[in-house]
Amino acid sequence: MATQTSYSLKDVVSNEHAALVVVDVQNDFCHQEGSLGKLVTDRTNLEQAVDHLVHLIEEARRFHVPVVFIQTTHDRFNDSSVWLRARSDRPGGTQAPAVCATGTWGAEFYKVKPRPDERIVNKHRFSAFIGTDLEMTLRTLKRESVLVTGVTTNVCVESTAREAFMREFHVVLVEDCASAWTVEEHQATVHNIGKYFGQVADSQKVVALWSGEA
Amino acid sequence: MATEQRYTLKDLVSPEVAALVVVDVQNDFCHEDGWSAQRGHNMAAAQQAVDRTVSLIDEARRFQVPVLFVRTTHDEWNNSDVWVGRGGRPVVENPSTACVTGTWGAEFYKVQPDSDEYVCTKHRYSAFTGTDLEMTLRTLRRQSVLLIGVTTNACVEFTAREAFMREFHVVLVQDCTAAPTDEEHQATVFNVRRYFGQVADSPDVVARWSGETDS
Repeated sequence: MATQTSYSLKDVVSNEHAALVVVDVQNDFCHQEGSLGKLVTDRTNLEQAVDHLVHLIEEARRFHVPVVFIQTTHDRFNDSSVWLRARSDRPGGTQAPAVCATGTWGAEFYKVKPRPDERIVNKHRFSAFIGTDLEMTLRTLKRESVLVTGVTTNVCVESTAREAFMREFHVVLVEDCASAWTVEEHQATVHNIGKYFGQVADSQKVVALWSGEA
Repeated sequence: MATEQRYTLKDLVSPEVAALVVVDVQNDFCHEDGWSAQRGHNMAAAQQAVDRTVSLIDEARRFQVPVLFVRTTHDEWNNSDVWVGRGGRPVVENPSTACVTGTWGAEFYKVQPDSDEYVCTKHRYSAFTGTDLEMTLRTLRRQSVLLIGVTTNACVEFTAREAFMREFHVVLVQDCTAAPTDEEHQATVFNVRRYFGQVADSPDVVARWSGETDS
């Protein structure tokens, strides 16, 4: 990669350089009984994204692409006044539901299952780089690019993608493995990443590149 | 604190604004069978510092100063070439290292966090690197850190310097820290006092918590 002047999608997703980053696929965000998941009226996009993601994770393992699972938790050591204020601005105001309280069912993964030899990074803010060792792990694994997936596209996935780029990683949004509360929100992220700082691909294309079919 | 012209030690150690940060008091760095001892380091100073540390932690709890425990672990997710190969050390797949994740050496030595206390796991010298320590300090509205633990000139000093760079007042509680040699320890004391923090002994700190001393 180092001597090229432009990076194709194939370069960036290569198992030599890439890590698959799975953001916040947890019960409170995704499960129909989760604190935010239960507010979703049409679950079609969300369930499709998670199904695609579960499949992509299996393919990543098959092609030896490291998979890093990001898990949000909240408790009294990180629920600052600034953070709680942001939550109170959401629909429901100060009554907005608590999300992913440390140690609860809501904070557990939804449908995705890290293996014992895979990395889980615990975060407390939108970006998976804030207050975590994610960058240290990516550098240790000699990763140059991140394939970002998960929920929600325009909040935690996009914050993570933007910060990955600011920290000198190539960014690929695997768009069919991410979901937002509305299509408009999802598409705005797709636009921003594609236009300003990364590549956007669907999971079939990524797998085809891993397998050498594309 | 905000309107004062000068911050006294009493201001900085106040239970309203301070956190006691306990750095790397772990078997591999303190125990006579640990990694450091096996490499020929004298553990006497570290063990004396830990005895005073245990007592200072009890006092901090009594005066409701939050106690934040920092511990180091090392494994395949953070043993980068830069870390493993520092200072010309050989870069090998299973490097000899202190505090391997999940081992006895990585367990706390004589200090014991309560179930409702914060434990921060780090993989580098500074407790701010790759951790949520700053987020926790801000959440708890802490403005100053009282640093104790081992070793004075490595992890404690790295953490002290980064605390200062991130806009926290720094107090080094010198009798609760230790280094393999007194020269190393004293060099840190000099740097902290001269350039960016205050240096105190644990009885000085407790005297201010208890109201026995006014400045």
